[in-house]
Amino acid sequence: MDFLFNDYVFQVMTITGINIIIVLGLNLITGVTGQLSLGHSAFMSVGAYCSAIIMIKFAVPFYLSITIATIVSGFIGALLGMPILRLRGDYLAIATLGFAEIVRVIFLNLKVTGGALGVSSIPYETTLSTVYIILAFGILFMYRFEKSRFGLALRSIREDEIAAEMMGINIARYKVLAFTIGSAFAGLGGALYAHQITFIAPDDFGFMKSVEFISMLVLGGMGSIIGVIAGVIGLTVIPEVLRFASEYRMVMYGIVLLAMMIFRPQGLFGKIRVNL
Amino acid sequence: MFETIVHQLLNGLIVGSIYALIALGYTMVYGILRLINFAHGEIFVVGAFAGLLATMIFGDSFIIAIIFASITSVLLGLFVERVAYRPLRDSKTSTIVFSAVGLFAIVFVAFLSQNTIFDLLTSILFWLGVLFLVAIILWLVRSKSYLKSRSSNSRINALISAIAMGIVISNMIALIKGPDREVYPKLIPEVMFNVFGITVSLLQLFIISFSFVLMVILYIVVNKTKVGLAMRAVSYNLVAAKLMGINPDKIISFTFAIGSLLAAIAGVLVGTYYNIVDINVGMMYGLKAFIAAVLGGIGSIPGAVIGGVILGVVEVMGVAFISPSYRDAIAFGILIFILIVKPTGLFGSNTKEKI
Repeated sequence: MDFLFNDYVFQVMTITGINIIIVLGLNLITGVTGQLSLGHSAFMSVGAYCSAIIMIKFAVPFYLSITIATIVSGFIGALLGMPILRLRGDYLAIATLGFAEIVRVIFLNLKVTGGALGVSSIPYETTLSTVYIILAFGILFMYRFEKSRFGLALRSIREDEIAAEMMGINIARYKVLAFTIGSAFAGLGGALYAHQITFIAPDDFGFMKSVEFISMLVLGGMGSIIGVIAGVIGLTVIPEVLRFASEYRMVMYGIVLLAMMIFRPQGLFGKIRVNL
Repeated sequence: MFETIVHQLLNGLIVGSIYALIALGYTMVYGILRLINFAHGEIFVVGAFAGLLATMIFGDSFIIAIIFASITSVLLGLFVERVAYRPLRDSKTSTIVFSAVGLFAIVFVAFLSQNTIFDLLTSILFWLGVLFLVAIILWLVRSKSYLKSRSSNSRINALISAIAMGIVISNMIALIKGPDREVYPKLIPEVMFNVFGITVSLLQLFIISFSFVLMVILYIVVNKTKVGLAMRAVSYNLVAAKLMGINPDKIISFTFAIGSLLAAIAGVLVGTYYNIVDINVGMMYGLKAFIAAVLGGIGSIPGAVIGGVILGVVEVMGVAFISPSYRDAIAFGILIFILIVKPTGLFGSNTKEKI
């Protein structure tokens, strides 16, 4: 049984859970509301740094610290969302990408975040059960949210923005709402990640990380919670299995993504296709 | 003080003309396909390395380096278009093309991994097995409804496909030549001029004037020739252009070829200017050039040039007078600012959304 129940497997499972939380947030922004975001890792980094720093500096309890990190990320998501969400499609995607790069450069240059060295010796608090209990609540929340009036409004924005506006939906408000909640999920995941890995540096949250999240979402299928879970498990476990061929890992990853786009663009479980 | 400013202005102009050369590839492809070609930055790096390889084989000749780099990059650009973007537009040949490319990739990866894990034959068999499994899974889950309606609203798929292609190419480069930086030879003789008390090297003058000449040639090609007319027609309305007897696939390939050619030349110029070439710069140069294209108004050729120069000058000035560590933040700050203030860029045309 050691083959199945060892620290390595537990760690992979924990990271999988954290990634599902983060991609659930991205799913709300990109899958449900149809706003492509290429800067999701920035909110993850905000949550991670926020929780790590306040816990080290002020010795606040773990749960308070991750709650604060979640709220701060959500707030920053809202702040960013207000000006840029009137952009559409590609323009929104590159604006979020630019924002993520700016956040990375700021973390790289601030004193409190330790620059390129990052923050180390973060208290180890995230256990497997913590992650999965939070994840269960996260999935329940997302499921109910998508079925609610808000979720319906978000989906109508995805399907046709102009028609949604005609029906009296305040597009700007709903987009900011989706962005806020999505960013908060990313921040929560980031905080959990920081207390699992115990060491964070700005380069952990680069553009490739955002691409990874988008790939997980696309592989599983956009707008579907089952799809999110499947996509994250697939793209977290495959690299671990292919670790023996680690040099070819990224090439294979790219080819899988490419093949997916050509042969089944809506993902494994997706029913919808997002318009840009 | 005055001398510093002029010197920085010159530096900015050089960085800017490099950005402009790369940005032209982005802007032309975007003009026609409405697609951000994320693999373009990698094509630029491949161009730089092909030029380096040429100087190793044939000696330090600028012209041979440029020709060799251009041929390599153009072939790669056409390949990328054929494999990653055309199957998303038209489904007929995608399976055959993809299988052929898959087989090629397998043999290639097998060849590379033969010493590390298995011998060649086992390696080929192993990767063939992987390919076979992937093919079976894809066949099982393939979507029929999608094959019927490959309409224009698949742009997010094209975008992800472009990002995936970028990942594949950049990791292939890393696999083939290893992660180290390489010293680039000086391909232009070092001659210094003194213009009104400011020292200028021949290389600097050459880069600026060569880029300028290339851009003028491109402008003439697009605006005065028959191919250029066809390009503009496809960009304006792909279906209508098809009805007029233009083959859009050919025009799109031509556009990719020109973009890759300019990127390859930019790669050789960057290499010989900084005397060093790094495999990881592709992403950053690509993104910066993309910012330049957006700044000038994406889809517009003069816009890309102006945008590149503005971005280069502002960036270099920011590095000189504010702080070097915020270089990337300045560039992306410009991007967000221009997107909020005027999303269509300086020269972009404003299109109203139709209901």
